[in-house]
Amino acid sequence: MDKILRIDMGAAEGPKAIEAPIGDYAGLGGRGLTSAIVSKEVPPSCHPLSGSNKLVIAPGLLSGTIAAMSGRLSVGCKSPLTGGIKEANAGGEPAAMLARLGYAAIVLEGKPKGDDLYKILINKDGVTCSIDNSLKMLGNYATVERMKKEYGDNIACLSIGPAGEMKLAAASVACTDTELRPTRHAGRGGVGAVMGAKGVKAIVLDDRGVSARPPKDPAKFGEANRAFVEGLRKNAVTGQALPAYGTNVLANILNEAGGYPTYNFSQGTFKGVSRISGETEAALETERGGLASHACNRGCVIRCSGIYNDKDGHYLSKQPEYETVWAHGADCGIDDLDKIAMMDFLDDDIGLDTIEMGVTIGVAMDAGLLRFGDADAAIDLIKDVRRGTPLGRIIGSGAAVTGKVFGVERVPVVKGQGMPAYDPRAVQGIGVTYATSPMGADHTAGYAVTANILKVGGFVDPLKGEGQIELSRNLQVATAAIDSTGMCLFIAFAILDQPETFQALLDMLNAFYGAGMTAEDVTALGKRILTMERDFNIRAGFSKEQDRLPMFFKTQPVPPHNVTFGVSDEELDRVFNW
Amino acid sequence: MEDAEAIVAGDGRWAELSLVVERDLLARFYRIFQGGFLIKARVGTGVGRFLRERLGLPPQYVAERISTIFLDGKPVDDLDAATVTEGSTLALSSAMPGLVGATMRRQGFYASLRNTITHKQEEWHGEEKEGLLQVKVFNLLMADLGPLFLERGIYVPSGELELFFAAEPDRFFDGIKGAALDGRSVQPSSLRRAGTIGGCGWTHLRACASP
Repeated sequence: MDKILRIDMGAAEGPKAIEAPIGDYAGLGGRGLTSAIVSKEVPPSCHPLSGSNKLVIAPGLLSGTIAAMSGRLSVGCKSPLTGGIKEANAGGEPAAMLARLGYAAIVLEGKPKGDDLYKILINKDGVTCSIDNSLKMLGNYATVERMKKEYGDNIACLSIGPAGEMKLAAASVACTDTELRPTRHAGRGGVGAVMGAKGVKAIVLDDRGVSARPPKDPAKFGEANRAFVEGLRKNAVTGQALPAYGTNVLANILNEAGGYPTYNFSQGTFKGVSRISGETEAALETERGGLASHACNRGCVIRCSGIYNDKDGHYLSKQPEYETVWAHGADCGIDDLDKIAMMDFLDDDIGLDTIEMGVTIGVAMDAGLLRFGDADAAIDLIKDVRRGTPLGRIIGSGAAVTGKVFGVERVPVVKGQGMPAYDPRAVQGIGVTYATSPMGADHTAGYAVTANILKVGGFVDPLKGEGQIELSRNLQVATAAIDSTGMCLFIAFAILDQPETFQALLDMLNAFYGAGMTAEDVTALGKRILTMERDFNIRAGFSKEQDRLPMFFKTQPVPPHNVTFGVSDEELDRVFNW
Repeated sequence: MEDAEAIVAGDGRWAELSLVVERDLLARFYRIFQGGFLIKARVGTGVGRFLRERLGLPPQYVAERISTIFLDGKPVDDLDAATVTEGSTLALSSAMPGLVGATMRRQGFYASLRNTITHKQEEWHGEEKEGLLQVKVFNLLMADLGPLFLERGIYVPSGELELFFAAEPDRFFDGIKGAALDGRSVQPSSLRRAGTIGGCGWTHLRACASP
């Protein structure tokens, strides 16, 4: 992983691919690399759909090795949705393949002159960019089927659907999973629109003939990996709850806490929650011959994903995740898992961020465009996006645009990005992260609940009852660092309880690179990444006024606890005080 | 809660349904476990004591397995400072993923992130007495505690129970080895028919595993 593949899509003679040494970016991977390249090379004031923006696709520092859980891919750019820096993250197979092919990153640059659509093949023999306009406006599923027919089954794909081709701000980049289905998405922030602006429909990776990346110290690496896996397996969260129920196991918990945003964030509990909970979803999947436990990439031992079949036992979608079930479910007043799964499939096929879509439809319901709870109308609205109707284009541009067009006050976005499935009035600390993350409202930006014992991300004295600001800071720092490793963030739950499991992760990194990284180094890496991202945003015109929640969170109490967001602006401004 | 006093007083305004089912079918009641049911117990005591002494759960199980507890929708950190009273809703969960899962955890490191909804210490001056409370059991605990509660007996709205039976497949009823309604033996498949359980608002359901 010592080279960067730069593809100039606007070169005069057609796309031009150049391999360059990683150079000054050495030591960075995943989000660290995407943010470093974007912050250094993308003019912050450029239009996100212009040739000056760059789409950076980077596996993590441990991707492509035999390390468990190392299959995450980062996709970075200037976001068409937020106007700031963006890193979207996805599982699936591409990260491992790209890393095994030796690439630290693919950088798509420039912009083609015409409206030809390209597919790019990358294998051990090199890179081939070719025009394939027969792929125009195909859904992701059909696109991947075509790539399989053309290149065989031993591939992984990144692709955009019609939403990306239309350059809609909620467009995602799809990554294929272990069944070669386009179900894992770099969803947030419109990264798919940037890929569409570059004229790239699909990137096909074929790693036949290459091996896993070899560590500097194989014995130590293997030992650390074994300890790491053992830690994940013995932990109740990673070893039992997530494999059994997936992320949607959180639905009942958030609902019980009164923090499950319902009817466009107007209340915190949903009557229909038991019909769409993770427990119900897992039981239904098992009954119908799907899978309640499934790995999205081959190195995963947590297996929180699943397969959702329809009532006749036919594949409908991958197991809708917590965020998707919430966004298309409670936020829209819908309690029908089959309809939610259909919407998930449509989002995946059209290439849309499921969080943004659900929040947008919730805003549309608040506007009176359709009734809360009307699943069929919601499905039609998503299909309108595919059809490219004026209404579909508004919806596909996200919640902020939709709210503005239809005159809605309660629009739950930060920096233009739709808010995920935790009401910040009930869980105020999440609100701090939503407000201050350079990414916009992002639940995974401050997610890595690392062991305070090792002081990763800083130290908070649990006896002092220090709160939101310090914890959010530490979480964001730790998360930025882990996002650079290619590791799935869910490893953090085992790390929270088991310091030895975090040590195993450090040992793997050190054994692989022959380094001597400590927890302090991890903290320093996280701070470096956040500093770059915030600097980019400032140069893009952001100020502290963008580090705020919409005012309605301060003025509209959320039942049943009837609380408002009480963290002051001055406190929010202290989060990044290093 | 409708007819709550009658239930507590032992005034028979509910249906009594007893089932003997194949062990693996007890898990089918998951919708009822997570949606909530009533139990009659001695209330007016701290949550910890309630779980250990009133429900008979081993202290180690309470300490290590029931990682997340809500009382009336508020996450509980101090099991002795939160009191289960008449009409309480007690929700029980194992350790949960996500930052928010970690945040809701009992005495969790990230508890301050939810300080506006945390159950606050209270002084309880009432007395212990027989009462009704609602219990919800989520995720991994459903397999552990669900059968326990079913064997003990739970009160469920009769309408909800009818809907539950109506949605169950044939093999569920094939797995019921014995069924008695208000003391009379009934065909398990009859439970699918609307109106079988009768006109009472509540049903006291007991189910145990067949040997």
